[in-house]
Amino acid sequence: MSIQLNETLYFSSINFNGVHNDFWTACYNETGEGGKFAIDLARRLNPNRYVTRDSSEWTNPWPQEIIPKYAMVPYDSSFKLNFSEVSDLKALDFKARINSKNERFAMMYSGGIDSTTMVVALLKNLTVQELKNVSICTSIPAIVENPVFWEKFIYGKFEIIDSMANKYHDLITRGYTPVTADDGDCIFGTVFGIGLYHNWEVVANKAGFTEARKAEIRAIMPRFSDPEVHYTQFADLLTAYFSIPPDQKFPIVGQAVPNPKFGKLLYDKFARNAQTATVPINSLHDFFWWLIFNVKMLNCGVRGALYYNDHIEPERAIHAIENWYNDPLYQNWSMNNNNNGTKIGHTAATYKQAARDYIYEFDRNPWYRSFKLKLESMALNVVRQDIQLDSSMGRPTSRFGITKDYKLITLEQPDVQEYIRHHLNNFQITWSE
Amino acid sequence: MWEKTTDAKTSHFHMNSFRKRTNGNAYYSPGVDRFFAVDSLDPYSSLEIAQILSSKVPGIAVCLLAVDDLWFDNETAHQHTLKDKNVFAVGASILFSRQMPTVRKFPPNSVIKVDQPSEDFKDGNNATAFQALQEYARFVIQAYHASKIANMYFNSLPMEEYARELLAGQVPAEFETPVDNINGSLKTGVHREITKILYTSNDSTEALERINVMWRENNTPLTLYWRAQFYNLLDVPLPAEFSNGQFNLERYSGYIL
Repeated sequence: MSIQLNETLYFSSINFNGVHNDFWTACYNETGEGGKFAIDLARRLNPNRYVTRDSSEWTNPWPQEIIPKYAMVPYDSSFKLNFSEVSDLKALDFKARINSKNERFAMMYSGGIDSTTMVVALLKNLTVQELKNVSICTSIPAIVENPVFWEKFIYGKFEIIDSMANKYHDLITRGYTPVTADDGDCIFGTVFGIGLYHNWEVVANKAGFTEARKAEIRAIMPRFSDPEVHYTQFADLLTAYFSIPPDQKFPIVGQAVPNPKFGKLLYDKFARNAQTATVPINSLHDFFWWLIFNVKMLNCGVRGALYYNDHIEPERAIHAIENWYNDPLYQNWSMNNNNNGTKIGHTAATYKQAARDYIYEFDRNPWYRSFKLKLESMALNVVRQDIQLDSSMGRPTSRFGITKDYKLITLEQPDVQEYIRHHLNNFQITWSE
Repeated sequence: MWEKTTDAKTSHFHMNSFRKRTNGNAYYSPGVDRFFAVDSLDPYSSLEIAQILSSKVPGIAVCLLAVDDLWFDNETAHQHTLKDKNVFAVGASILFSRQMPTVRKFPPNSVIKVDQPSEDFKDGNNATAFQALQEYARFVIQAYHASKIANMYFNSLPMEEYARELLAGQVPAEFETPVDNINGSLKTGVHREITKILYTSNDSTEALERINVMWRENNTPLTLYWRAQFYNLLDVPLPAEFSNGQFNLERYSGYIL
C-alpha cells in the first residue's frame, strides 16, 4: 500500500493534463456535489492545488496541511521596509552565505520581472568575486524577454546553464542551490485578476448584465485597488467570471452543461477564505492577491520540485530549492503594501510596479519598466521538457501528490485512485448556501 | 519619415494590390523561355518558393511585374514570356546566372504574349516535363503558403530563429534552441521540414505522402491544430488517420503548472 485512506497530504493536484483526463472524468461522473466541485475547480482553474497557508477557512476533499516551509508568517502591521530595501537585504543574505559557506546558487532566470529582480539584487549587492558563486540558469525564451539586460549584465559575466537541458535534479546533484522566483506573483497579485480587469465587459456581456449594472461596474472598476471599493461590490461579476463557460471545449467531463452553480460556489469559497484571512482584504485586487498569496502559493512554491525534477525525492528537492520570495521580508512587505500602487496601478502595464522601479534604478531601461508584461515563462520549459521515462518518480503527469512524510503518490497506483475516489465522494460543500 | 505606408518605395514591390492582381510575381524559366506559374503575395515568399523549385529548374527568375503589365494566371502563364530576356542579375544574364533563383522588378510592358510553346518544349519529353513543372509549381506555391501561414500561427516559440537572427553570438553554443515547440522527434521544425520535402519530392503525391509521415511521426498535442490548419489552407481533406483527434502522449509532459 502506498497510502492509507486516513493519511494527510502535503500536496495534491487535480489536473486535467491530457493523460489522466479519463480518470478524472470517471471520478466526476460517480461522485457527488462536493467531489464534482473539486474537479470543476480544476476545469476552471487547472490545476486544482489549493490549500490555505494560515488559519483562514479552506477545505480540501482529503486531509491536507501546509508544508511548514510554506506556512504564512504572522501579519505584522508595523513592518515598514520598502521593496528595494527588502530586495537588497535578501541579496545580503546570499552574500553572507557565499562568504561563510561558499554556497553556490543557480538562479532560475526567465527574463521576467520577478527573476530579474533577483539578479539585479545580486548585481547590486555582491562583489565580482562573490558573483562567481552565482550561475544563471536560463533559456532562449527567457533571454528574449529582456535581450538588453542579457547583453549588458549577464552574457559573458556569469556561468550560464541551459534550463531546458538541466532540470532541478541536475542542479541539485551538481551542488547548486537552485533559486526560483516562481513565487513572485504571490506577493503582487495574479494575472487571473488582471484578466478580469482587462476584459470585464466581455464577461458582463456574456452573463447578460444590464446596461445599468455595467455602468455601475464601469464607474468603480478603475478603482479595483481602492480599499474603499470593497470586492463584494463585484460579487456578481466575479461569479460570472468564475463560472465554467457553457461552450467550454476542454476539459470535458461528459456533462453537456456545466454546473450553473459553480461560479457562485467558487466565489463563495474564495470569499469565505478572504473573510477569515489574517490580513485585511478590502479591494478587488486584495481579493485576487490574497487568492494567490494564500491558497495558491504552495503550488507556485513546489511545482518546480515536483514537476521539473525526475530524480531527487520530494522532501529533499522541496527543501533544496530556494523560493526567493518565500522570505519573511518579502512576505511581510506583501501583506503591508496593498492598494498603494506598488503592486499594480490600473492595468497590466503597472503590475509589479515596485519591482519595475527597482530594476529600472539599476538598468535604466525605460522600455522594460513601461512595457514588460507578465508572461508564462516557466511553463515554456516545463511543457516541452524531455520526459525521462527512467525517472524514479514516474511521469510528471502521473504525480498526484505527496503525503505528510513526503512520499510521492501517483495516479498509477490503484490505492491512490481509491484514496481520491473515497475522499471526493465524501467531500461536502460547507462554505455556501 | 517612417509614417509611410502605400507611398513607401518598398510598397511597390508588393504587387498583389489587395487581391486584385494574379501575377504580381511571375515565375520565369530562362531555359524554357516561358513563364510557368504566378503568385500574388509578397516577393520574399516568391523567392523562397523559387528556391524550392530550383531543385528542378535552374535560373528561375521571379519577375515582379508592373501593375499595368499583361495579366495572366496559372492557366495561361506558359503563353507569356519576357520581352527583354537579357536581364542581368548580379553580373550575369539570368539565362546563365546560377542555379539559385533571382528576383527582379521589371519595367512596364515587360511581358509579351506568345501563341506557340517554346521550340524545344512543343512535344515529347520536354513538353511532358514542362507540364509537370507547371503542376508541381502550382502545388508548391499553395503548400508553401499553407505551411508558412500555419507556422506563423502556431510556432509561437521560434527559439532557433531568435538565437540565429537576433541573438547571434550571444547564445552559449550548448544551448537547446528548438525550431518550434511541437515537442516531437522532428528537429528541423515543421515549416522547414515541409519545405525540405517540397524541395526534394518529384510531385505533389509524393510530397503529400511524406508530409503525412512527418505529421504521423510527430503526432503531439501541439501539432494537432497545426496540421489541421495546414490541410485546411491547402484545401485538401484532413487525412483519415488524423481525423480522430488522437495524439501520442509519449513525449508529453502535460500542462502541469
